Amino acid sequence: MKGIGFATAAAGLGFSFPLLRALASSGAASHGEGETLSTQLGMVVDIKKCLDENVRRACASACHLEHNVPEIPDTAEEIKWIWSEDYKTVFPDQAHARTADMYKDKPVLVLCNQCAKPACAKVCITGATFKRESDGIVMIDMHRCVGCRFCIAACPYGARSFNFRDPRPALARKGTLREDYPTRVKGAVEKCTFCVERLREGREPACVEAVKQVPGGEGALTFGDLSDPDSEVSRLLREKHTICRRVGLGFGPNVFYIV
Amino acid sequence: MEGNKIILDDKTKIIVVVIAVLIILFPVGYSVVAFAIAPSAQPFLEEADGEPCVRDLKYMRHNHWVLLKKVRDEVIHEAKQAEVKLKDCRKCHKSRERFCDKCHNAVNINFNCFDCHYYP
Repeated sequence: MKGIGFATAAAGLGFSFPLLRALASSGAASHGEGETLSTQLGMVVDIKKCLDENVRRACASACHLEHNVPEIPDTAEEIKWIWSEDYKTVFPDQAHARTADMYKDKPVLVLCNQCAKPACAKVCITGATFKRESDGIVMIDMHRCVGCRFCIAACPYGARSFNFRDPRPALARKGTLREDYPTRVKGAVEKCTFCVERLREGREPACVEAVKQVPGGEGALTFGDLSDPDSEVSRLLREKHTICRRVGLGFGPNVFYIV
Repeated sequence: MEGNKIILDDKTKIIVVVIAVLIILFPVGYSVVAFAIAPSAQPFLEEADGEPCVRDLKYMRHNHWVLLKKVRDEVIHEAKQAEVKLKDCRKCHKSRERFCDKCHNAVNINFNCFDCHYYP
């Protein structure tokens, strides 16, 4: 009797205090492990093939050209959607003193992981960043972003960039302003979107398309639906040994690396 | 006491009352006349050339922003195909100055679509 009474009281409290309710159903709640989307797009990156600088450069320049990402030399203010970082920075829990020479201090291609449980979406105060249920992409509704930068602090992968200034002058200076893709404004946060605008037209992301043009880049990036067992990405993930960035944090990254 | 009394004859009284009434009614009369003789509040927009619009003229005049916001949310949040795109608008409404800005300036509405979306 006492137990039941306590449970009822706890449930009652839970209704009035969201935090208690969340604690009571910890884990299994809305962002629980068991919840999987019907479609989750993902990418498989072949680290070996991406060791070639031409491959990595082709990805980045294709992406940044496609999405009106300005080139800002100042690293404090730079904007990047897909870029390279050191192996030990990308995989801090994998790198050790005896890491193979092949990977040690070598650059790895990184981009937004389109997490299964994105921290950035959880902290977003306006709902501008959200996990889209139809394809599992972590989207930013630029019309709603107020530039609070909580998401930048929350993202453990550093995938987000802030527009410290109006990007248009920098783009116009280089003559790379594209008229068919919107730019951002000063004070907005941006990141990789797996090229939603291209997916809508049935095309592959710009980076995936770009690596195919580079000799030796074939298969460096593979893009597809992770929830479809017959897709190319699913086949690769079944056959090869892959690692993810900072799995221990539990955000469920959807970009996989073949080592 | 009697010496201080202002004595008005009937004619003066009528004049004073008429002037008072005119002063009181001036604001109302002014706006009525100004509205009647002012040029149309709607700025003249030239005809857009090209195919017929996605909605009829009346709907677009009064609700184009409703449509744009609806499509915006559908595309971003529900991953639907865009029913209409701003870049399609500029096929017919070629100049932002002559179409968008003209009206928005007349009704004093600030909008920020073109901070991000390119429109010539």
